[in-house]
Amino acid sequence: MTLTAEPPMPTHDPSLTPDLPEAAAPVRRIVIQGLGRAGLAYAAAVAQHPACVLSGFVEPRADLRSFAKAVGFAVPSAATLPKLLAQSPADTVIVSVPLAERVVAAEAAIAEGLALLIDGAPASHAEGAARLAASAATARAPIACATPVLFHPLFARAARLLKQGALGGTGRVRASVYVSRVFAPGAPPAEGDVLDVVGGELLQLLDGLFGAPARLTASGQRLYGDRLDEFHAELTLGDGIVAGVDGSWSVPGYPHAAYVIEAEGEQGRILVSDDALEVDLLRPCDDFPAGTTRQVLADMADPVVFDMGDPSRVLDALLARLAAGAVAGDALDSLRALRVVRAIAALRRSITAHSAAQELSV
Amino acid sequence: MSPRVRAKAQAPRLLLGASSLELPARTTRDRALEVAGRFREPESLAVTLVKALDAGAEAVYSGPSSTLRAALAELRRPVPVLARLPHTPPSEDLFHEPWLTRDPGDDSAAWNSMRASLAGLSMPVAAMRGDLAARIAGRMEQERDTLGAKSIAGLAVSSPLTDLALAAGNAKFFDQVLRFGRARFGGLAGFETRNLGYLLSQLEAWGIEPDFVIGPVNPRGFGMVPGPAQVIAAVKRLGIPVVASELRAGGTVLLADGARYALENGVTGLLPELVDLDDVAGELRGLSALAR
Repeated sequence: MTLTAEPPMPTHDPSLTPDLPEAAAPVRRIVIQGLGRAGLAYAAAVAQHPACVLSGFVEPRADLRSFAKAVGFAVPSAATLPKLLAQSPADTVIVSVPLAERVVAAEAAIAEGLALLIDGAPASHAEGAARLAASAATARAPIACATPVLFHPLFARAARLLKQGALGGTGRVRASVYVSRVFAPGAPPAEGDVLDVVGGELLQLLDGLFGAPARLTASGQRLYGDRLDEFHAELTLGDGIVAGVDGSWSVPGYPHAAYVIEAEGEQGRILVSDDALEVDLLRPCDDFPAGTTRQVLADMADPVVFDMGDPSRVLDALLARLAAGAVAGDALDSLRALRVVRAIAALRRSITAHSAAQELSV
Repeated sequence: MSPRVRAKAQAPRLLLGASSLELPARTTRDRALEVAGRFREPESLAVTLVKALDAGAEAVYSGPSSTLRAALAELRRPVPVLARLPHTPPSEDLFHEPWLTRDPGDDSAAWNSMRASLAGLSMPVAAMRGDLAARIAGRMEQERDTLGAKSIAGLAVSSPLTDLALAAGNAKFFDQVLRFGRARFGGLAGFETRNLGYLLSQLEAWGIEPDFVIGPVNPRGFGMVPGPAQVIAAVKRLGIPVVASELRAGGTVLLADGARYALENGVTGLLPELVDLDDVAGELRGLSALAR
């Protein structure tokens, strides 16, 4: 891989780099495709990360390209990926376009042979997921998908603990997500519903912590219009674990989505949310002693190079995994992300069919 | 006039943060809900604001929240507000576009900035050139007006915008927005950030001196980016007035301990949030004595 001569952003001060694992060489040259909120946050994180440089922007909307320029990002931009690559070489693309455009954007990056990170759900429907899975099978570089909640330090810590078998055989799981969006000024947006906004992330979390859903039933409520405002589901996960799931975007008092997972097993119990991780174990596991332990966000090591929220954590993970040569089987796993798109589609079918059971191929 | 040669305004020593009423705060969900419930009635928040000022708080730090607006309307006494702008409601996550490209009203930023003072007269031309400060000037004035405050103590550029411009290395934005803020927001202008160490170092490198910078400082190092040691070194070395936020480190240390640590490490002002306080008057009185 060829290194660019000079990073385009001049502001990174190496003396301010926090104590992180050794920065992986070589430096990645990253393109941001989609200059919405997430795209700009990724651009900022990339501009300040010592292990990568910002190669340019792909955005068909002139107003968004103009805004990024006004923010101060002095890098090339173009309406399409091939046009940008003709001006500025790159080896990685971060796709942060609207949900409906993600499959096409991802296919363009795969066709160019570039490593790819898709921010959020990779497709809006099962057909898109199938199409993307077929494209991914021919990919010459790694493909990753980022679901922000999997990078929250408390959920990441819970995932590590569960992977080490802290609970023994897990029995019952309860999961919920609540957020206030229907009432918010200017909301809800023209498209989407509770499953699009938070349901997918909750299923990503369950799949990541306990395994892929094999069977589900679901019901839902439309309280304020034609769109789904609440859902309730029962999922049978990989090892036969049964998870009861609730989600709503119409509960007042939740400016940010509140994800909560509670799991019981033969060896103990875990309650994890973005507030705290509470663990009650019969025997020690990892650095958790037997008995009850409670940890909060301030107890978690969370070294980010530059804090732009979730994109900073995702970028750190992406760069580390690309340096290691693989992104499968961890929080960036694209196969899981595609699987969850199919699970959401099944959940919708179950709601439409009055809670009829839906089987899913794992 | 260059920000560097301008006579220094007095940086705030004690603010009462009210952002947590509508924006996510680094506290437990239960605590956030409890405090929001406590101040659901505007009269209750109004009484708390008056008590806070009497206890030594110099201003209330908040964006244009409807809760604060209703409370201010209850009071004849002017309550100085240090305006946190532009406003960044959490529901923006429903939209693909950056919040700043979505016009909150009918007026364009360039048109709004024409109404500004001498400091703002250069803004329409700058907006046409694509300058970030010019693009948001009108929006910030519009949002300031919706606060309904009889007294504006100053402008603090909110962290999402500060950190975006910081990452992009946009020195001109920092310089321009300081001039604009000082001219249009009561003489005091500064920045809120989640990357305090970087911001202070970069401001030094650019030779830009805001009246204050707001960022996390606490004994746990919680939210101190890129790391506690680097942040404290920058605070002590550079002499830019720093107002410490996140004093309770997400609820894991006592407010007085957090304040003491921050002051001992060079910060000049304290910003406890409503979610950090139980006895607002009593605890602010204690902090006021520490910060003096």
